[in-house]
Amino acid sequence: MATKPGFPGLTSWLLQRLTGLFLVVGLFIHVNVIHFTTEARLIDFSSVTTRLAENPTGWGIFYVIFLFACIYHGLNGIWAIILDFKPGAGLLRFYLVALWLIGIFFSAYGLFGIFGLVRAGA
Amino acid sequence: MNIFRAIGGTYNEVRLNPNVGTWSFLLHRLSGILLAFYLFMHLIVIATSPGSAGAFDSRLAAVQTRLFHLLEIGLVGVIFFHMLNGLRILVADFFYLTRQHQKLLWIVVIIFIIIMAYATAVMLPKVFHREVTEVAQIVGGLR
Repeated sequence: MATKPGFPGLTSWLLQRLTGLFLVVGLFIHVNVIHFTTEARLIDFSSVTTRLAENPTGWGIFYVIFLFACIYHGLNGIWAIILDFKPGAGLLRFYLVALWLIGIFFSAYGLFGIFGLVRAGA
Repeated sequence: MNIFRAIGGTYNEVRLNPNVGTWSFLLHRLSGILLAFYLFMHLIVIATSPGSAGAFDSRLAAVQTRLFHLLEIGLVGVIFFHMLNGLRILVADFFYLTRQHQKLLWIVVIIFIIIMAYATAVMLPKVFHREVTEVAQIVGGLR
């Protein structure tokens, strides 16, 4: 993955791997709870909030880290693809700002959802 | 950056170097783009009405039809392919196993098949289950 001075490089490469490792664990938990267990038969407000209420702090912390890891890993992956196509510095700056704005928006949106569901279950 | 030139370049890369490494690279990229797109759709569905049971349930009911349950099996496939192939990249990078990357890919394929066999066995019954909206009505009637 080529990079340019002033743009994310080695740190983002390393963070992509670290968030990826966390997502392996996180996705096994998430997919298991949502798709492989009885909750999957009918996912509704009651089943989700009941599960979160069993350990609101634990699930809250897990989902906040999971949210940030997912968003960073996804957007940083798109950033790596963009870099491979070697756009000019101006376009690169535009993509970087756009990815940051998308990341901030969906992080806030996801936090709103997580805290709302955890609070509803408490 | 011309998107058509970029796609053409990727096509040429696959055509000129059609080995398993190139295919896994391409599939990793495509699955990653799909998952990033899915993540944002998922957040919109889940996080829009976290404080209202009625709004949350009606939103979720829209994505718990037979078709979506079938698509979920594909989603789990995309997740686990991307995850296992990502682990292969990580192992090759950090343990100096780049020369073994093709062998690692076949290990990934075997683990992927095992996980997908389990996932399909667990998730396929839901596809043939009654529509969740029907179940929700029954549950609502029992309350």
